[in-house]
Amino acid sequence: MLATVASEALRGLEGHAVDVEADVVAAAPTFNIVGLPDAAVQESRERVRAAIVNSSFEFPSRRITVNLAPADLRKEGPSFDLPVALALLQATGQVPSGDGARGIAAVGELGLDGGLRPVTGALAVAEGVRRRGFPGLVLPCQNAAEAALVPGLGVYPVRDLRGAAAVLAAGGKGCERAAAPDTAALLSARHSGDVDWSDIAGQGQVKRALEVAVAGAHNVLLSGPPGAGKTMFARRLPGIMPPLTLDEAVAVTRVHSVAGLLPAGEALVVRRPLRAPHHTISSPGLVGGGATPHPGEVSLAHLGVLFLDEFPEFRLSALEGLRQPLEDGDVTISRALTSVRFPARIMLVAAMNPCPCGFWGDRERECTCPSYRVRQYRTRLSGPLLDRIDLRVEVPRLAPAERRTLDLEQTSEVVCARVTAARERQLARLRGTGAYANAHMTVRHLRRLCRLEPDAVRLLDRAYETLHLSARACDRVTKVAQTVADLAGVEAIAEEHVAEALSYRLHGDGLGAG
Amino acid sequence: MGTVSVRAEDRSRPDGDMAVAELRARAVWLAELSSWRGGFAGALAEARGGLGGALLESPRAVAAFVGARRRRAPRAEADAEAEQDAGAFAAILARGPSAEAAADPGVVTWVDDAYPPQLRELPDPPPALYVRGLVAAGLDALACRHVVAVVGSRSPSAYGREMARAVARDLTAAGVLVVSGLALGIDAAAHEAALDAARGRAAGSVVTAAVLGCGADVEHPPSNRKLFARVRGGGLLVTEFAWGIGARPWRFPARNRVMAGLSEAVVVVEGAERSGALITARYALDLGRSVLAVPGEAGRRLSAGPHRLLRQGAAVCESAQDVLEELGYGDLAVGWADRQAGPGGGDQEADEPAQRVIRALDDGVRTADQVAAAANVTVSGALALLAGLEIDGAVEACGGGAYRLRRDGTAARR
Repeated sequence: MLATVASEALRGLEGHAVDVEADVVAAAPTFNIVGLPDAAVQESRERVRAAIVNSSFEFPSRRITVNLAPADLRKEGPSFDLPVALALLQATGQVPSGDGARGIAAVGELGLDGGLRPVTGALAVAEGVRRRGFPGLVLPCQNAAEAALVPGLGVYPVRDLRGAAAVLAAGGKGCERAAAPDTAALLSARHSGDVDWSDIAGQGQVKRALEVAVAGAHNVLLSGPPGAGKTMFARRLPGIMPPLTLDEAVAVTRVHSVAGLLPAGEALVVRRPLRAPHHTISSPGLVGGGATPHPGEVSLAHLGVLFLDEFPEFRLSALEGLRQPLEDGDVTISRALTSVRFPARIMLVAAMNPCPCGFWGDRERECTCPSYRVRQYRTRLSGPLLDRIDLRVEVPRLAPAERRTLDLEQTSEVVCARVTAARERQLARLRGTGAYANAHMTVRHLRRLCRLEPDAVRLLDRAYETLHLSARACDRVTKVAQTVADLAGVEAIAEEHVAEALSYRLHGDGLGAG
Repeated sequence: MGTVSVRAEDRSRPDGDMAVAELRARAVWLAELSSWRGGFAGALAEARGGLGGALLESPRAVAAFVGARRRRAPRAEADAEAEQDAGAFAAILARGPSAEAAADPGVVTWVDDAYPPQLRELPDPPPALYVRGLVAAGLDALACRHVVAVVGSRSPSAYGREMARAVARDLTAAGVLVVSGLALGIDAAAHEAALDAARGRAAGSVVTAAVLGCGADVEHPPSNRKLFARVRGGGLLVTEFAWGIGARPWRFPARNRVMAGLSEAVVVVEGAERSGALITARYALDLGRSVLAVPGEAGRRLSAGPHRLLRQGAAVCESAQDVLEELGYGDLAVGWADRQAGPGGGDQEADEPAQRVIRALDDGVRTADQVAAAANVTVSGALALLAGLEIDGAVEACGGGAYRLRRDGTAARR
């Protein structure tokens, strides 16, 4: 007898329809799975057999063929365990396969005892199921919260195979359904901040620079001696960024869910992510890749902060791979049969020491690096990548007295309010351009939308000459000046805004004018 | 003293009737040999009672002298280089003096009148100098003008660089020929400042001379390439090493000896306990030239060199004025007092906050935070004001997010 249960395969961040067909005929007992399954899917035979037996069902000792259609799409991972088991039970008549059952898709990994384990990418799967017009989805209860984000989909959380069989048997009628999470409450809940902007003592100039950077979504390069607090700043950046909207939160959740980073039972990622990969990370690890494309750190930092400490120590191939995502806001990974796109709209915060030993330019400590090593260290940063970094900020080591000067009024909440107001000005100005912040303005937007006062133009011209700025550097300065003006709440860019923007350069050899 | 008369004597000696051309060829030959084996000409001169005596030796006698001298066993790690040097040395020894090499217009020998007279005071003067750039005017300037060497560390602090620049610039303005070694750091800063200060002078005037530890056609270190071109256009490249000779560690102390020999005074800006700058100073002291040192911050590695010199009696150099007074040319400091007015002086129209920012920087290096607190402006305001002053050339950033007043007061940035 033949039975079909609908399921979903993940390709990148999208679910693709897969029908699990089971055919049981009276012949020598075998159990085969066909339809381009990978090793984990092949192994599901053993899990399915044990789970069926241990759930007090009968495992048919006949010839079983399971087909995962369409046969040209690679199927991976253990999430087909549940649909395979359900299709088998239907094919042997142990679970009725009425019309109600047809409308319910299933995903889930089985344990040998028949219990269900959570799967990755439940949100993307649920969206796929909904797109196909299915009214219901049966899945492990740990994944129910995120799946319930999809409007109009009946989500049936179950603990084990028996529970899933019951849902199918009843066609979903009268079964427990996961309630849609209260997204508004989740998003508006103030995070009990374990880290706050006001924790940082002194460093007013760096705080200001980072506020500007966040306000315009500009990428930043922090340069300073070890222990000056670069990491401390980075960890507090998500807290001063504008809160996520629901759409943004869902987008972040989708990526994290596919990567298996969503904590079990959580519905939504409500804080902007901060990813801080170690500098030994490989290029696929950073930008995404693998035989079946997996999101990299740039995508996991989507709509948040990608913090690269020891920036020049990263592999050149990995850093070069950052250029396209920084430019386009997403990553395209092409493979022989498929090409996958992951979102990657990030704010890059790169940090480096001014030299390998870290004390170049320090007042009290002396740099012991030979000059050629300093040059080598800095020239590892490619010009094109540096071009994408609008602000370069030097983080000084604090004098002892300054370590105790805390500004308790400038909490993350206060700074965040200023940043959000500045972003709103930008959104209004940039409406219809596709850009959402000053950092993403093209040269054309810059010419058309940014108004400089005559004084500001004069200052910029003078800087162009005396500081030997390139034309591109001038554009960067203008963008940053626009953000400074937005923070000040004025429309036209004044002289002092340009001047402040000009101060966000690195002043050491080599990286200054760029 | 004696050296000059020895030379006159050489020419009048009966066997000194030998053509000047032959003497020049031998001098160039000795210079080539010394390029491959350090101190060879010096050793020969010592054995023959002066370079004059050495030049009178026939090539065969020179070869015999080489054979008689025991060679030091080469250091193991430098084996390949040492072997290469020995091979080149042997080849030139076998070739003998060459009239062709001596006919090179870029070569000036000990026998020539154009040879810088002060170099003859060295116990082991180079038998020949290889020069590039403004050759005739440059040699003339070395002989007739006041020559001061400004030397120091290859990796100086921002302070050291600034002091080197200020001293070299003001010395140049006073008409002194600034000499240095065209290395990175202080040397480069000194050459650059001299060339910058001479901007607007007639083309072809000599403003600086670089003494090299390699062939005059070898650009070492390569990152100074642009500066090499500038020095060639506005001064002189001098070396005792033949064309195409690469840089080797032992050639730099030898170069320092020539630098000291050319200069009336040596100014040491920054240097560690064992540094080339101190070697130059020691040569200068042996020759009875003035040595000045720019004081640094106590306890820093790069202050050790100058402070040791000061302890031994070197004069303090806070500005070019100190150098001129040490040499007894206080009256040369024309137009210098005007500039002393400082960067704030010319900025009469500077608005109130900007002046407060300048005042906040009066006591030294301050971060933007500290400036903001002292000048009573917001941090963003301080950043904006500092950037404006930086463009005006009144303030410069010195790394680590800190700023200082520019004491050299010129708007030109490197």
